Amino acid sequence: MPGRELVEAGQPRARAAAFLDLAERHLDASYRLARAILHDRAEAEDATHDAFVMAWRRFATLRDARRFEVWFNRILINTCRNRLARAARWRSVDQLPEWPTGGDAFGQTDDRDVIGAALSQLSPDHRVVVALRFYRDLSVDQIARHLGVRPGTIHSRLHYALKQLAALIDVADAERTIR
Amino acid sequence: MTSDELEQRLRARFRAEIGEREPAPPTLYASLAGIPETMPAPVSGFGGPRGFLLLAAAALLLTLIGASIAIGSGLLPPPWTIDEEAPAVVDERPAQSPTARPSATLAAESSAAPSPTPGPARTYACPDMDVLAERLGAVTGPGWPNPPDPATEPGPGAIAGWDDRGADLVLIDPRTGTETPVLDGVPADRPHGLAGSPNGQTLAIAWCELFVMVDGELHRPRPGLQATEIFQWSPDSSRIAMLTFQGAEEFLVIVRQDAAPPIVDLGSPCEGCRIVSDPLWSPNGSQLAVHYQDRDGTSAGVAFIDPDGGGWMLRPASLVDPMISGWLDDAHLVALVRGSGTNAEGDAIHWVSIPADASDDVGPLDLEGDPAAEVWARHESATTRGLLFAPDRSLIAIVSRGAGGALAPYEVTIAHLASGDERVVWSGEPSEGAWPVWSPDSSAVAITTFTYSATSQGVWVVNADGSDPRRVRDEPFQLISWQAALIRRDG
Repeated sequence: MPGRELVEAGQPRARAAAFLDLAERHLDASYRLARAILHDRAEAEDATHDAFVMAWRRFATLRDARRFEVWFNRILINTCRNRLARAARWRSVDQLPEWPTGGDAFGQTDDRDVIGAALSQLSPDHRVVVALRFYRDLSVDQIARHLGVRPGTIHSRLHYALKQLAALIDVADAERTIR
Repeated sequence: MTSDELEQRLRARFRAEIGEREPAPPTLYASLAGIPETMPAPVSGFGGPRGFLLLAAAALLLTLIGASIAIGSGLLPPPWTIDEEAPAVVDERPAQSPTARPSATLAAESSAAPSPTPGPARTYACPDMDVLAERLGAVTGPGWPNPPDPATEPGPGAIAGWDDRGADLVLIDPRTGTETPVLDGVPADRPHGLAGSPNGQTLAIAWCELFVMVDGELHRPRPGLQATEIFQWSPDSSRIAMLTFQGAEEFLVIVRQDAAPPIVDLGSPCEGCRIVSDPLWSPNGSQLAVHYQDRDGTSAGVAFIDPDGGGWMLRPASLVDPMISGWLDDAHLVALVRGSGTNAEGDAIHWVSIPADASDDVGPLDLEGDPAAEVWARHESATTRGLLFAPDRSLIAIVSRGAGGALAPYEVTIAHLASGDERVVWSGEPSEGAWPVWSPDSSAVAITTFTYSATSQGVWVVNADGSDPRRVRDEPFQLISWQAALIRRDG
């Protein structure tokens, strides 16, 4: 891991090299996290890119390269959340999420359809906490620190998100049974 | 479907959708490499790599021309210069901790417009702030907030909370359970908090930035200053201590009750620290305490600062739970210490002896590092989850979870600090948590709890002696508080 001297390098070339080094180390994981929140490849690609643009613009505020991941994750999560909020504001029809539309012999793909459709109904804040909890496997306290909110807020959001998901999935499961 | 089944299906869904080692697309790698080359100066955002490929050439050309003119004319410093801090720093004071960032006073800014100087800006992009200010302004007016007159209107104030379903601010009359929505339908993309001053004369709302309502008028102490819901009024209602952040850096600021400048920047306990608790005012307002953690989690502890001047004093204490503490008096912070009596840091942390069968305990943390007397101890196997002093400091509310892990119910116990007598005043079903707040007169607590059961979830009010428990709301609140002011929508 590069030391802080790289981040604090005053020369533009060294600073750019330090940024690119850190960014490339975290690019794959960042893209996957954006996928988990947005459930759309193109949206995730754009959000990850925009987050790195924002990170570069604020790179001077980062004093220690060891903090890059936490620092960048906050930017990335906010970028994804803002994209979801904008989408909810401007689209009357939910964006079709990314999952296969056909069934499979074991019903797994069908289950992904059901859960994916339910996830797409959540508010931006709820989608973020669900992704961080069940994709990243972060604890409530860790999520709270990533988002800069109290653990009680995360408990609340998870509670409502799971409650809403359970209701949506129960209905979908019942419909599948009937079919 | 049980909650376990739901969680398993969610995890399976994510695993199926996203490969564990799935790389980012090559186009993303390509566009990443071009960011520093084409964006040496801050510019407005654009729409991802697809738009990036089209805009890159234009951005490069404009940037080169603009930067050359600006730098050549002296209007701008070279955009790649790393500024250590924003330039609006006066009244700098030395910090006692060698690693602490010095405290300072932030000059007031009249607008949210970003500084023309590149580098760290203290502004934060909150595009809906003006809209939100209009909404808040529309519900304020003469007499809002309205401090109670004890002679003519001895009321218990109002329980306030955020309804997570619609981001509504809802007020509850604790006597009747009557609900009044105050702000409904405002999107809540940011964390937010609400706190009335102890004297009931001012209401502060942190919603992306800090809003202060005093004498029926809405004030924005500093548009653009990033607000968090982590803020506390001083005991004399003269000031608010609030956690804010800029980029990766977190720091405390002090805002005056009348929203007038200056805003005092107390800095951060140590470079790279995260502040992981509310700022806790000592009873006489002479000290602030926060729990801090190093970014990589290698050190943690409690930091103290005089809000009127001086630097941070750090008390490393890796075993102290950052979520659970409170001031016993003006010199002692009572903190929960996890573990079995070994302070890994070897520093000035003192706590009561812990019975072998206890999972945690409460002990006194001496501001000066001197040994302190035992003040209160739990001798049960319950796991303490929260600690809250009553406003009059005679009582303490403890949230604990009994033995049995996730299936154990939460309990709220109220202990008399002088005598040590304690009584369980509320017990819920197995749940995700319970958070109490004290009434301003220390006579009762309101508890919001999250469960999957319709029978105990919601908001409860119970007197401090355990009498008259009543459920005033079926749905839990987010960030519950109990305000001294009689807040009315219609003023």
